[in-house]
Amino acid sequence: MSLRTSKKDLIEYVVTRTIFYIATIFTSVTLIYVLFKFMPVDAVENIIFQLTSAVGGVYDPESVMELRRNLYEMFGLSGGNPIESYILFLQRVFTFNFGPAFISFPTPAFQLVLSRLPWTIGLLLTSTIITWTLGNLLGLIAGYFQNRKFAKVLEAVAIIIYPIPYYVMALILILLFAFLIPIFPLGGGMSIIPEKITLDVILNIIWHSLLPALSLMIPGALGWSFISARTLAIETLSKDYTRYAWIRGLPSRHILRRYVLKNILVPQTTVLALSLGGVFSGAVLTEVIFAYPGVGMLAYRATFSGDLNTLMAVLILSIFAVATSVFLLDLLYPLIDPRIKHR
Amino acid sequence: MKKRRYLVSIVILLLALPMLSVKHNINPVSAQLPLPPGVPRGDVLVVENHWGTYIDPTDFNFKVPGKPATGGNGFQQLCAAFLWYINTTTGKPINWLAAGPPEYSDDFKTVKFYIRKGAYWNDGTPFTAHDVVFTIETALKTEEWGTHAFAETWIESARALDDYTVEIHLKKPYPRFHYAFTVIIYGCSWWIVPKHIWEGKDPVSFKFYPPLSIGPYNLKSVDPAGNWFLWEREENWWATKLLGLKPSPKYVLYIHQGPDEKKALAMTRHELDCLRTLLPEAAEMVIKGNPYIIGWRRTAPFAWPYDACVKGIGFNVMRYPYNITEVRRALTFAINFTNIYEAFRGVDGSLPSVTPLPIVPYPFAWKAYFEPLKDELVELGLDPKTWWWKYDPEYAEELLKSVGFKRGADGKWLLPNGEPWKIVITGPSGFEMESARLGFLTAEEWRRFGIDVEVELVEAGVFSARNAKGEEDVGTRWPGCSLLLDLTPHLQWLCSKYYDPLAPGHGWNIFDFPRREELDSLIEEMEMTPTTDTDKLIELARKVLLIWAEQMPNICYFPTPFYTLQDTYVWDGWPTYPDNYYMDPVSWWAQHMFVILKLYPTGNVPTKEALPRPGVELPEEKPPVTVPEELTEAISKLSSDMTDVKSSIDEVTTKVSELSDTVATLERKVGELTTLSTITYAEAAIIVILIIGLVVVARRK
Amino acid sequence: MSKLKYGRRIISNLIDIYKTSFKFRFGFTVIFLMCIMGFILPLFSPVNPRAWYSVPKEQPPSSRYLLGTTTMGRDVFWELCSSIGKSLTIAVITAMIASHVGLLIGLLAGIRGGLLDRFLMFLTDTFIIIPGFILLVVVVTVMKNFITIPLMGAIISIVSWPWPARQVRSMVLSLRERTFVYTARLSGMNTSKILIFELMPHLLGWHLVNFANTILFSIGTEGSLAIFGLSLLSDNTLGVMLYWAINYYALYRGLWWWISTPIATLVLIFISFYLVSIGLSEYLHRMVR
Repeated sequence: MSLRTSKKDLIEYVVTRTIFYIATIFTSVTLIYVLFKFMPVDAVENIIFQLTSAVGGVYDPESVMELRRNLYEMFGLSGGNPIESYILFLQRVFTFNFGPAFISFPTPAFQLVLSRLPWTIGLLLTSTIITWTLGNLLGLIAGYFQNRKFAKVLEAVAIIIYPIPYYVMALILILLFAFLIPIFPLGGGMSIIPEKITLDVILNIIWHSLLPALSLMIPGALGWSFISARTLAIETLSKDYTRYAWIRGLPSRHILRRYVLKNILVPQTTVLALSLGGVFSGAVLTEVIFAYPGVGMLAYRATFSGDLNTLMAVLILSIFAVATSVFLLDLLYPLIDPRIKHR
Repeated sequence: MKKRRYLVSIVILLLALPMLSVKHNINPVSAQLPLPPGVPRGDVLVVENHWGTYIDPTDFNFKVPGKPATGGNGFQQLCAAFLWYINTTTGKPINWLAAGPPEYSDDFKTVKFYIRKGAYWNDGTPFTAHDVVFTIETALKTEEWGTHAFAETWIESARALDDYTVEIHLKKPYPRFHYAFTVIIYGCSWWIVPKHIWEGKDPVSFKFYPPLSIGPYNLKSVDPAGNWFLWEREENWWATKLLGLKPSPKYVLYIHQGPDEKKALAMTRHELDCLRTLLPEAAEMVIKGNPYIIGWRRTAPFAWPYDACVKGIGFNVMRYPYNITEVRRALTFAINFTNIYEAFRGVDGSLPSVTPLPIVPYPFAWKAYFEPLKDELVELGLDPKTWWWKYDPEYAEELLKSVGFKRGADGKWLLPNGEPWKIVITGPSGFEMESARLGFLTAEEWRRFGIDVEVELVEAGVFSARNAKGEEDVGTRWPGCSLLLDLTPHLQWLCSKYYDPLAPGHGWNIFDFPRREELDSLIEEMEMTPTTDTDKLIELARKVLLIWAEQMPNICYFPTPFYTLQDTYVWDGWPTYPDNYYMDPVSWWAQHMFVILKLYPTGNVPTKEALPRPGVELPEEKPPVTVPEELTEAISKLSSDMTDVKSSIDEVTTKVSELSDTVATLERKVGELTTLSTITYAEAAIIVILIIGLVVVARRK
Repeated sequence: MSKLKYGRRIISNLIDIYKTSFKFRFGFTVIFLMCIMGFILPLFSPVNPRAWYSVPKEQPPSSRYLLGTTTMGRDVFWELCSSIGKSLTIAVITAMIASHVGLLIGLLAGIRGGLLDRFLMFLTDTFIIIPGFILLVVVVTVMKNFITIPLMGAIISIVSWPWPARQVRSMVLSLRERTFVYTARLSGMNTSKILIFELMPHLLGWHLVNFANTILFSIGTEGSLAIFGLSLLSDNTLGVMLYWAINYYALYRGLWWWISTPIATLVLIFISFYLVSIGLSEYLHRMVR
């Protein structure tokens, strides 16, 4: 039972993982495709509804009938052989061609998603990383010093903040920091005229994204990361070898780093990888509340307008992202925990 | 060692505290609006972007359908080229880029448009008939344009007889052809494109950015995130030269702050000058928090009761048992209307304007349709006191029993086949909350009557699909939208020839009932009557309405009150009823341009380039659509009578409001002082506590 | 050991925990009270909590209306009781399905390895990579017509089982390489016995926390879906209660009784589940020692 793996095993592992990578993407894409067939939304009827009923506009009924037919053709929604359309769909998906976005015809859906991506990535990437780091640090400290007052206070605070529903937390933050004490703006992406990219513009964007970021970080850092890190830390601390290290007189910083931290990392890096992958689907609720122009807001608009092309684009992009991060994580596992054998 | 870490963190906290005090001194009014540097708040008019976040804010090609609305970014209010507008207060057209009314040939197959001489695009190019012809021809050629359907159906050809006359040949006679080029409700899809810009471009993918404007403002900048649009005044506008009109605000900002409560917060802080509507609860927040707020009236009640669509309940007449007329009428009489009416009473006393018919009860519509039909409607079951259908559960019971319905042992209604009767009302979720509220209220009424009712709220994409495919029993729908005195475009959808198998809707078009042929022929006659023959149109419309009332395919309640709030802190000159009633406060409709032309700064905030008073009054041209003399006389007599009464009351009211304004300002100032001092005290307290804590910790060492 | 003796041992353990751990006692009592509020009290409700405008609207708490009334004329207290019951049902169904399916799959994959492991991970990954919230939105939209309370719980569990499965598997993988497991195997015990006696106690603490977390996740997700209108809006759950309170701006208008009630209830539910799980895991640690 040697702990060293042979080159052959390594290659075999990488190859298997790669096959699985492709297979999982394929299966989930198919799942979504089938699911979409059952969506009771109709992009064409939604557009006609917006024109006529939603604002009460006056339209000649005969032209509306014509328009309906034109739209069906334009959007390519008029039936066809199911198997053929599925194969066609698969071909297009792997070239990232999702067809035109109905809510912004004729811009390709993929391009639309890409244009929104920088906003979401900026917001979520930073807040995810900060939340993860902060949560684990705090959890570690709270777990290590579990009998101290401040650790107990931290734990109590976490228990109280975490279950507050996200929407309410966001509203409270807005009320506090955008209204009563107006430090942050009420919402939006930016409020400065972007003639060119200057420091002012960048600062303005950051200023606008601080409140949504805060609303994500506070429940995040004090939430799941903190609690599971703390639980794991406590568990590791009760292990015999940790006790032995303490008895031996090793400095606590050493124990923290070499023993506790490493043991926490295994499950927590999984969480990080998945969260990072999830960045691409955007935080829908956050973006809607703060009118933040990211991918989540796009997905929201797309669902409710029946724009299945755009929604498909968002979903599939996200699937690719998460699948890739999981794949990379699997390859990196042994570096974090040398005890795991490649199987 | 650890203690040192605590000290460090406490020091950082202390350093962060002064940040709080810095913000106190910033004038909250300009803190958060995206203005160019150096522009004071007093130069900017802030309007609500009612649509929300624009997915691609640099896409101004609204000819292709599916794009966001044209009324959220200011395009239709400040930039687009329209030939005619309808004045919402009178229902009469305003000639804008058209020089006068259209001229139809006797067989209504040829029509001439006369273009105003002297109008030009903001880059100096004259606006001519060639632009109009180009727009029509592009629509005919481009299948992806929304207007292609209309062009394909009606237009044979179009040509410019000279620079200012357009001659259009129609495929079939259509006396209402020009309505498509008129802004009636909200906007108009036949805005004219500048030929010299669009020629040679691909009409589907061309983005038209920045859009060449013919209105009083030019697009200055756009939020890359799609939430706001900033427009800058055009100093050499054609209407300034020809009509003496120039708007006062130097900039207009259309901005989307977020959900209702954010808008309410913004308005309370004077960061939003006018908006489309709020739920009454949010409106309450603004009314209480901002003493400068006015609405449709200058004093409470503020709500605008004439939104273009009458909300209510629609029956899917393709489904059993809603295809039985007695059932629909029985369900109407089972409703105690007072409950529903009272539920919409606003905190400021706003009440909805009741209508039993699918048309909006404007004062001019009231005189033409409601009053004269009163007797017949009473016969059909109208209660003359409430002007709605009477609450008569016994009669409803009779009607139901006459078609085989029975009451079960538990008192609940059973269908003739013995099954319990369950109704599912489909309502909107996340938009049109007021319609959803109507759904719940109606459900309560029917439940009390003994029917099992469920309300299902679905979001926009599903809501529209369900209605179109006829996949619901009953829905909170609003097919009754109207503005014009000529009800043809508003009622013609009732005719059976407009049945579309792809989208049967509630099936009214294929619904068969004894007077179906009569209804169809009446509508066809209306369609053939020219718009100038108002008498005949009114007479025919009355007959159609009576047949409609007999059949009751929808239960119409009222247009839900719209809290179109306007803030008089920075700007005034808003249209108010009845003293300054030149337009309705429709900031999301294209007609809002005329409101912006009348605004002036109040002086409460510093201005720089805002004009102290706007230009001359609105062009008072003779109404081109002739309304019979008696009607004009009656309407003017009515308004003069009201003005007489009102003027005396107004004097008293102005004095009172002046006093309350002063009181409110004083209150506000005191409030600001107290908040300021409370926060300062709190900060001081926190600093003291932290210092003490520091000392204690240091000592422990 | 026979099943009966096992059962009795568990019960005696539970009673033991209840007596010794304050945290467990507190949490358990609160949950018990919540269950009574949620399942027993609604049977005695004088008004139909789903009927609008049955009581005068926007009354602050008084002796007549214990927790006040809402803008739609509903009694907050009875609405709350009914909501707790429904939310708990959804949450428990989700947690039962999701955490146990996740645990099972993670264990199987981790212990057995080989082909089974790969297949199960393939299945898990397929679900993990689909963005959960959007998937839920789509599924609920598709099934809007026939959604019921239990179905809602099942739907939410679709997105909450993959994570625990993956985490359990990774923990099992690292646990299993430890010496004592090898010792056990060398001494001749078969795989399932190893599973139960050696690995379970380590996993149990985590699993209980996960269970409590899934319950909270389920309630929170149902609330987020409700805010988009994708829940049983005509019925009462804590999420729907929050939806109405938010849509009528209870927070900003000072109707504190309407908005703070569901929040306070949510906080209490989580705290109690968390305390229960902490109490349990601490006890188990002491037992293992």
